[in-house]
Amino acid sequence: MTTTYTTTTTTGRAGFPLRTFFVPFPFVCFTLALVTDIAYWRTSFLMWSHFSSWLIFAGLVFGAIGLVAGLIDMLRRSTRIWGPGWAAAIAYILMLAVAILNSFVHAADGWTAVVPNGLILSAVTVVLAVVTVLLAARRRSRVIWSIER
Amino acid sequence: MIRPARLSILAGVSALALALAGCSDDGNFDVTQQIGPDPVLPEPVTELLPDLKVAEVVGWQEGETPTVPEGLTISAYATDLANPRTVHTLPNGDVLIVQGKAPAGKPTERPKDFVRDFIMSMARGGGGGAQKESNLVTLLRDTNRDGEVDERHDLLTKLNSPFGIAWADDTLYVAAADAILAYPYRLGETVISAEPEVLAPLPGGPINHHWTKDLALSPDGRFLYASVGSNSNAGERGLEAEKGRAAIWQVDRETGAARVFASGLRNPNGLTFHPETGELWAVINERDELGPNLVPDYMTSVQENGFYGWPWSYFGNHVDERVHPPRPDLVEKAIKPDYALSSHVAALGLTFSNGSAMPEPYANGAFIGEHGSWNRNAFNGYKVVYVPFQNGKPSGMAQDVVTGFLDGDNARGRPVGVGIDGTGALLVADDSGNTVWRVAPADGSTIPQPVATDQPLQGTAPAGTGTATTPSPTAPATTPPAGPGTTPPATPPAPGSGETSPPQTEVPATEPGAAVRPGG
Repeated sequence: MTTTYTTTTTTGRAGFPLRTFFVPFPFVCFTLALVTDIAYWRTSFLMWSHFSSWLIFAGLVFGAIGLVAGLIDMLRRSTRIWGPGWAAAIAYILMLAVAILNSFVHAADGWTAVVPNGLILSAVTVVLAVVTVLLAARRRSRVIWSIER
Repeated sequence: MIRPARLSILAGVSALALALAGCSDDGNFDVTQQIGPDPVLPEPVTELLPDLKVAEVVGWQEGETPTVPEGLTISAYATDLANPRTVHTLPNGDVLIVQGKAPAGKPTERPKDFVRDFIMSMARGGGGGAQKESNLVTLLRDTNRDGEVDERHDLLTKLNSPFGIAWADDTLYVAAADAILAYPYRLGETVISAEPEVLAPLPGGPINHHWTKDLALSPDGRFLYASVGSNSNAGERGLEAEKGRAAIWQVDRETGAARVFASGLRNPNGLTFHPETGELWAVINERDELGPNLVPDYMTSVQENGFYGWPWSYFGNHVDERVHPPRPDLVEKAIKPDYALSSHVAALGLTFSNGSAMPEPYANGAFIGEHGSWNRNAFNGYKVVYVPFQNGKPSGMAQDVVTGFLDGDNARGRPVGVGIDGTGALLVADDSGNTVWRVAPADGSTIPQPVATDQPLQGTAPAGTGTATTPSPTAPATTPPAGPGTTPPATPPAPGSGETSPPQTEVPATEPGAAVRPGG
């Protein structure tokens, strides 16, 4: 019984995953959008609702670029090993989908663009962001400890 | 910042495509239920993607005209204009065409604004090709009164998005996007070379969302009334942005002193005094994004110090939940308007037919120019309708008068301002078709003498001397005496009306620019 080893290991020649430049943006933007949504809910001051709209917009733009970068990472041999795993990728896509929905809700005018549906959706995106990070972190440690590749 | 802008346009296109694809059917709703004094108001609908259907402007081909019912004929009065929006007839029968485009420089506050700009640019169109420079006032003269223009002069050019216009005492008043300008102008002149004076500033930019400022001269000639539309759909730019807006202002012609005459009117236009009652009437564009059948635009007489609900409520006391914090105290005060015109028709022009040459079915009532919808899936508006009046109040169902602006999903033109020309025929400004249409009685009848758009009350003796229109005894002693300078244009009263109504007199404002917004 022979064991074969690939030349790619967790150290050495692994490439730098492109997506790591972009993927953090939606996590940060959507979290801040939840904060500004809460600020609007508490104050009725429309500036906060505008902040939310822009934050969701920015999160979606960079999130989409992150998705493309992730695909490129998947195709590159040198970065494939660093993939986040299917579970995390699906959670990430789900988060972006909810954020698209949220951006439409936030595009409405005034109070009802945030309270209550916008606020709920913002909270859901943040929960999905946390789930994505947890799934990716779990996968990463399993790769580092060579439990899976 | 090129990338976000580009991406947002892409997002706009796809949002538009989605909106067009995901048609929620509103074809079953009978829009006539929303025409009249008591419209059917369905529950508000919050749609993820508000309905959008923009007619692309294709312009008029050679020989194409809008359609009119039997008994009327239609012809192009003037073509090759640049976004004509307002028609105004001077006492000598000359017609002024105000042409204007929205002022530039509106700030982008939300990602949504990109989408909106994209849609609006599509709707404005113009049939492609190079466009003439807009923002001017053109004089059209029909010397022999045969219904065809014989002379054409560009009276004023390079204005700041003009819309309203009025004339009194050798002075031409033009409502630009941010002020009422006064030009010395005698009837008959074809050139204005003098610099204008600012009679009164009006709420202007940088947002100036509903920028069209309409003007009307009070029947006693003392005041100008100026409409100022809101800076938002339903207050979503904050109340600070709405100071002095969504209102009709009253401006003293002598001093420029100005005050808010009525408020809570989202986007008022078509200011016109009823020739019999002397009441101020206007058409108002109501709010969007509560569904395809909310909120009906309306025509109403405007009460002094009246509050009509915007942004807190619509059509009386129907609360708009989008405006927060709520103001039940103001909702309670909101006046229910007189006559609904159905939702999203975008009524922009209003003129009364009294004293015109229009035949019997149209002899006593209001013509209304409906620019046409873009936030419902089934088009509404894109026509001129007639609402019959009795005793100075609407008395029946609106009837289509000028139609055929739509060609399938395209628009050949879109009607805006309406007016009566010097021969008594109806003029319709078509800002997208760059044409002014003339709708005349088919039998060719005309009125013996021109009637000015701003006319003294029917039956009121035209002022011969300066004393004729001095303020009524209720006016405070501090009122500047009305000298010869305030005499209204001496046009003959329409025959047959023996009543004499006293001219309305308002208490003058104490300081210029004093905004009296009820409760605001």
